[in-house]
Amino acid sequence: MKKIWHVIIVLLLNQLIYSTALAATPLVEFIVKPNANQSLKPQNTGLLFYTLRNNTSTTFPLSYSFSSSLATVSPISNTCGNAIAANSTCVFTVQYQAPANNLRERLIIRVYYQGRAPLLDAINFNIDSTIACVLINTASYQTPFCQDQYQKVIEYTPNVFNTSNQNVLEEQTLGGVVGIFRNINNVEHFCYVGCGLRALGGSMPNGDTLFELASVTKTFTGSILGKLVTNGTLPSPNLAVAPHLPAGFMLNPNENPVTFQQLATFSGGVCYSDAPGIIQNPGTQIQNQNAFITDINGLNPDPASGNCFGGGANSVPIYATPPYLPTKNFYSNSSFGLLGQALMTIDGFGVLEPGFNDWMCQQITNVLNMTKTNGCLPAEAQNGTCGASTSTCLFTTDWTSAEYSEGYHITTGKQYESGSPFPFFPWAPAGGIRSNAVDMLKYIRANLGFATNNTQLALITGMLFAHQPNDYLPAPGLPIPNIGSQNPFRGGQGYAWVCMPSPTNGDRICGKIGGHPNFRSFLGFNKNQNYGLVILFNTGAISTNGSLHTGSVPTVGQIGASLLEHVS
Amino acid sequence: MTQRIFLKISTLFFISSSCLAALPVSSDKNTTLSAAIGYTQFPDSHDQLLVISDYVTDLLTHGRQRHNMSYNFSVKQQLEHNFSAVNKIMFGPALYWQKAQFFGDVWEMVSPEFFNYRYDFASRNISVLLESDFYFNPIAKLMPFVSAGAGFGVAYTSYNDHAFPNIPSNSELHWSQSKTKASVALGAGFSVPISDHWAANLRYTYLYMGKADALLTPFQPISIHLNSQNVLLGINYSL
Repeated sequence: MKKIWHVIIVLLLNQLIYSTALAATPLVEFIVKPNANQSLKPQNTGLLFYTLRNNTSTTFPLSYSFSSSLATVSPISNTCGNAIAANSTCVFTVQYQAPANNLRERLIIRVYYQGRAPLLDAINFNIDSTIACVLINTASYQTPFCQDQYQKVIEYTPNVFNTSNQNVLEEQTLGGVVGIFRNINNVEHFCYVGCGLRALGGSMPNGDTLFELASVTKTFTGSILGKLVTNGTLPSPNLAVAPHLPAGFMLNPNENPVTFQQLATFSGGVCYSDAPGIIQNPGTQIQNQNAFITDINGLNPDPASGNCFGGGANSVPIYATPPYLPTKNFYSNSSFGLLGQALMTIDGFGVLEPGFNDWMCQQITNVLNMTKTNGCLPAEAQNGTCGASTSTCLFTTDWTSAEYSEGYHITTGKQYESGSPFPFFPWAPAGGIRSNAVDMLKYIRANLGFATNNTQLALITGMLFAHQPNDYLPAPGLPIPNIGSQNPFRGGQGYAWVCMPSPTNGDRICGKIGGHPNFRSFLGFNKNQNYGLVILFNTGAISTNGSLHTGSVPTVGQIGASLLEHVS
Repeated sequence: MTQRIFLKISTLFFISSSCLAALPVSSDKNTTLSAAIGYTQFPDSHDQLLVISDYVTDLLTHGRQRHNMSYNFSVKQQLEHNFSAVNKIMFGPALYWQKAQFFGDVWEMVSPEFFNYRYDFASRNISVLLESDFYFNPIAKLMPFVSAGAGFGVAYTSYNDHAFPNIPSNSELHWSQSKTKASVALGAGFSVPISDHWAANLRYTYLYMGKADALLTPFQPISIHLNSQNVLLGINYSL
């Protein structure tokens, strides 16, 4: 019995010693350090932010040393100074001035505090003139968050920017902008990374440079649907759109029950993306609208009716018995075009370019103070001829001075070729908006639920509703989830958005890809991290959604997903 | 420095030789080789302060001794003498190998809140003495003896502490130094003959070496005490 007690006491003592060992507490420590690998363009400045914590009740003097003369103590956000007070934290900032030439250097940083040894950290700097991106010196760029995000943009865009105009690969781009937003403990950060060139022979694009959003526009239309549902204008998203369509639409009886929800989730029997009549014979806006009406009126989701109107496979009903709607998720610009026309009509706007612009102003851009965003062609926006009402659109004056990025596609000779601006089509609610990173961060901030004023709340409520996954409805019995794809995002189909748990950490991440012949875009957010981003590229790609992509250059969707999954 | 060591060694040999010079003895050419192994006890460790800087002082605490085997080797020549109470006198060089080792906890800022390291403070000591064993007449088969010797020792002292997880390893202290020390041995024991040539013996020896200082930082040193009590079990082989 005595021996057993001895064993128990020894075990308890061992446990006590072990647990004490695990609880080792340094006197002073780094609690936040920058990434150990930093990349910079020559002659650019990088900031390294360290957060120090003094765990003792003694105030320690601080001094610093660096292994490179290119590093100095920076006063930016530096709260440490020459001492760290007892039981406190402070931020210590190092500025690294990249030289004019390429250089690989290991910077050793020592912080002396009168302890046994200095706090030590090593940063590997890669100064490389081939780095295409620069953290733009605006907004929150002098923060640890933006400095870190800049490094991540470089990390996740290998071989993406090709400014040489030689041997241009699929998914490469001449230039682009990445805008990143995050709310950290109620402090908002806005970062802008400019990459490559705005145009051949031009300068680097910045946060104000306008790009075509392409299909990211669908999230605008989806947000408006969400708003009309959540504010009670539409009693249910499962109502038929037919009564709300503008003049001329006469849907097939099998298509006539199509609902707002089905059109917003690509399950409304629209079996083509771009309306075939317009693609084959484009004309004026009115001619295109008439052709669109004809194409929509030709839809018949009954599989027995044959091929889709205009050729191609017909849509596939989800449930075995009529009605033939909903149909299997088929990504369609015209589906969102039709949805948008119904919503514009409900809101009292025409469906041509002036009406579309006024509708977007009233519902989105005015509300969120997006001063440069519009659906006009660049020249029309600058000279005020796109028909937007100056009484409805608050920022038409700002449009006149907007700087647009040139758009490019890749020729068979693997060079850039400038393309025309994407024209106004009846499916403008699916892809007709142009915007910049500054405005889009206001938009993504709202999508994360952050309101600046009460007038934004109704829109934000609608936005949050638009993120939600949907089932194929109406269902005869147990509903089947509608799974959407925005490669690499695959998950519950929202109103244009596709959300899924992050494979890396389980965070709920949502994304939407856009692609035009001369532009690509990505909009996404990580709800758990209050983090959102926009990627705007000025070069198109054959596989804009990345689904056919097999090359070594990451797609815009893959870049977005990487950033969303590695926020912290 | 070399001159001081030489002077110290010379003095110790002189003292050792003088002990014998006072005795009316002479050599009878009987030589004995001895080897012994045993247990050594060094004085208990006490808490010590380790001053790191004007702001930080560590406490070495909860020191415990790790016992290591000690070894003794000697080659001794029998000397003739005229003392009736003394059976024989053996004289010659003896070598002692010991390791004093203490381990314990390091509390930074003298606070258990910052129990961040474990220390290992050790000294490996090799002493070379001129030693005399005075054997008395046997009692039954046991032949008691007393011994005395003097010489010098080299203490190779080392201090290492080891950081716990979450503590940077570059803050560990690692230090070592060797130092020559004067050594004096006093002891007693008994020997048991096994055959004409072989005998077993058990001896107690108090070996004085003083202490060794370790100046780990530019401030005050910490110390390890080297005086030891040894119980050694050995065998003798007489040529």
